[in-house]
Amino acid sequence: MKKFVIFLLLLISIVFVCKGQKPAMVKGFVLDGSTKLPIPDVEVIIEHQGIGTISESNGKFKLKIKTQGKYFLVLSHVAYKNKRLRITISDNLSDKDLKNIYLIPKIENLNEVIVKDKISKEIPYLAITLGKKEIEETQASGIGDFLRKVPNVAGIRKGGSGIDPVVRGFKFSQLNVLANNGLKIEGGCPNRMDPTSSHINLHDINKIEIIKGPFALRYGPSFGGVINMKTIQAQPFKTFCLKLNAMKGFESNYNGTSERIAIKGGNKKFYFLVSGNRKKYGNYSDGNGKEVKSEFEKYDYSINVGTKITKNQELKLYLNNSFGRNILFPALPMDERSDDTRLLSANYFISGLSKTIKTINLKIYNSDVKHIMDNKNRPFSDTVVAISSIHAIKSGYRAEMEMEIGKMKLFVGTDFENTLKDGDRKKYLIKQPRLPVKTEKLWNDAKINNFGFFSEISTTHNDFEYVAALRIDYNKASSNDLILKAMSGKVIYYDPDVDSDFINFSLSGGVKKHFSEKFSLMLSAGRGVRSPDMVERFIILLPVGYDNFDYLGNPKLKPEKNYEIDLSLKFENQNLGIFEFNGFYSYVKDFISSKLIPPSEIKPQTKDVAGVKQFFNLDYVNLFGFEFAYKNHLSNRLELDLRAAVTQGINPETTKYIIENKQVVANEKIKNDPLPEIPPFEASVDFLYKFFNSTLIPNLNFRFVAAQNNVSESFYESKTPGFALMNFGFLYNYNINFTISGGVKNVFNKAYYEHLNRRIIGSDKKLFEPGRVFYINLIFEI
Amino acid sequence: MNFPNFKKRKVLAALIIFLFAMVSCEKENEKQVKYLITDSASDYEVSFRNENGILINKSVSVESEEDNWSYEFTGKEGQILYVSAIYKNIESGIDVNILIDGKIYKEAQSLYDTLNYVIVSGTIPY
Repeated sequence: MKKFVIFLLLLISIVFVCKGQKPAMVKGFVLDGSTKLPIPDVEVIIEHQGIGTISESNGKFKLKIKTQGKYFLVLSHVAYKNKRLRITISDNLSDKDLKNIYLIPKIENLNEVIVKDKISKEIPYLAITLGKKEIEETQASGIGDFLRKVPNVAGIRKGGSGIDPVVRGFKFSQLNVLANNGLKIEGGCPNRMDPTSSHINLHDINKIEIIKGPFALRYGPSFGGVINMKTIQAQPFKTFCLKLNAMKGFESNYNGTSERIAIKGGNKKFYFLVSGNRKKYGNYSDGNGKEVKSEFEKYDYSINVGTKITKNQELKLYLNNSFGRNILFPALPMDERSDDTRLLSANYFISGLSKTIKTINLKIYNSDVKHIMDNKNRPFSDTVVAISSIHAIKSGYRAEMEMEIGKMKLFVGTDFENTLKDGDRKKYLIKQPRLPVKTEKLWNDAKINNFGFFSEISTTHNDFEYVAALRIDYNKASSNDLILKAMSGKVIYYDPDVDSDFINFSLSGGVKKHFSEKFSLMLSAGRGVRSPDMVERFIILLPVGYDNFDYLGNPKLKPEKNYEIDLSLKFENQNLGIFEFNGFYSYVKDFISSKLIPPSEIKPQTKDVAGVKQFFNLDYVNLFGFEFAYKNHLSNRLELDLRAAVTQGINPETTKYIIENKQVVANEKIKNDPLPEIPPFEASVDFLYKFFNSTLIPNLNFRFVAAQNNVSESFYESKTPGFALMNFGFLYNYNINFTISGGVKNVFNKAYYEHLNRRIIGSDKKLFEPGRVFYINLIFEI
Repeated sequence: MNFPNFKKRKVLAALIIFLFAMVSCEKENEKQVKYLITDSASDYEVSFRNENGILINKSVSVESEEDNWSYEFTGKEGQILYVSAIYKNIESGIDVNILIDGKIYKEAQSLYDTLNYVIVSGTIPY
């Protein structure tokens, strides 16, 4: 850490020793001339000066000019007519705010232009992108918490951090969660204290793409959706420069503080980004004033360097070291005592190889997670102290070639991931200090290899866009024998037959019809297959499920297959606003669930659980639901954003085990049992107002969540009452260098919990969400 | 090259120093542990884990109930603590305590019982 601090200070000192004149800042917003909506990705350049930028998702842009004079500012976008503005920078180099600049849609050349644009830029399936703007507007404890703002994305809370995302009822390994298009991370904890999303700091994120459904097959096996976390990257600069970004945040209730510092710089040839984050949060109080043991401390640093080997070749290296300390999980039997994670990747990119081969992208990566957890904060730790230490490593590569053949765009590629997990649990019977320490294997050198080949083709014809994708995976898993022994040496469980391999075929297709400039309809269908994960295959008697049972892995599980169909429509009108609707239906074959193993065969090893369940394949289950969004500019300054979503999951036939005195005494068949951990109907509305030419933007959010009464009987799920919340936030751009964001979450200090919040261990009470929270963030950028 | 002006640089320097002061300060996580045995009118055997986690056995002679036995050390958060005692005279009793930073963390008592150990155990809280 000290070396990192010295390195950063050295870099900062470079900024300070440089002397020069303050440049003039030219800034503004680019808006659609007809809809008045912001236009992202507009190229804004100062003609003949080699200075340029791209507008952000809210249409905002800013440029620096170092010398006074008269210039031409050129704004260009493939779907709009170019605009050329004359600007004058005065002697004193004062900043120039161009406010709103309207571009006129390029209707006369629509077919030609749109075809080219959509081939090169759009993702031809339903994708949601959240950028820096949304991150700055939303106060969240981490990525999982942040993603909960997306319709039909929820999160499983077990503590103050590490919220595990759930997309349309799909969770855990049913989601392909990755960083920077290919870097994958295997968490250490069998109970998912540290899901993939918890290993990347939210403030390091440039944008997050969420692709729902099994349609995007280029990023690895995709079953229920893809969450692609794209971190801020080092980028080349026309001339050498250094830029600094620093943030200090505070949240009441948790008494939480967060800090960030990032320096990026370089020139056309070599460039870098160095950043560090720290977050320390205490326990929070819920709306009833009751303290929830949820404290955590996390800090990390990243180094990202890039070089342009030639004009069309680039090499980037990425290192991230993150550390978690004393992260409390009141809903789990243990807390995370320490987590040391190292992420490494190298990315090589080449473009313009030939008329057909446009780009080649190669990535190799390694993630290394050392995870230690214990029960020292649990009441029974004065009898037995249990300490688990797990080492999880994931390594792999991804190679992709992009081609254009006529109007068709083709991606072909291959990827590989190797997952290794080993670890044990030591039990100290501290009231009997003369007894030896008991060591149990949690993972016994478990290994999963997945090799994949993928291809995706997209094209357009008249008003239609088409996409088709194919993926073939070879998945092989192995482990040392699964064995668990008692203190006496007696074998409790033994399974030597643990290897398995599969060849999985996934495919998807979609068609989008543009009925007019403002109205489009999209139909997608796909089959996504995923092989069982480490827990489902190899876990040995740990309470890793939603219900109160010890779970046993099943090396003979079959892969799950998701057959899904999505229908999406989008309608835009200058006066009425933008409407979007997405409906989906999933038929999941060989759904991975669990069934009871009789106590005569195996007895549970965890205190107070009702028995042992083993993972197994159900014949099938169904999931269905919709998302709705409506956005409108009620005036030039006032924006309305309304969202609603719901998912339902049904298990056609299952077994419920009747438990009395913590023992299974009988069972009964249940028809059409709802799947567990499916969030209820939810709607939210945001009012956003722009004061002083968007310098001050307050935001009022109302969130309505219905009661969840469709609960799983077979998993003993309890109903959750509905609730309504009000949140207030603001963004104040004091000047180009200084921004303040702040607000109040849960304004009325409502005592509530989300349906997906887990129960506090040893009780039937759910983990409540935080009560009222005041927060403020100060952001410097130079 | 982009340069901040002098005033902004001063603000920035102050901010960076503040941020790194926050980042660099590591909280001291050591605590003062004391095993304390009181109120025994009888000789007793005591077993305890010391600062290195080693189990130590000791015989303690007492002349009156006012005679206390104690052992102190500095321990780290999460360290396992254990102290137990058993006395020899059925007419006696005993009070076994673990104190952390001068405050009672765990305690147990016994009266007229020479068969069972009085055990106090736990971990130094985080």
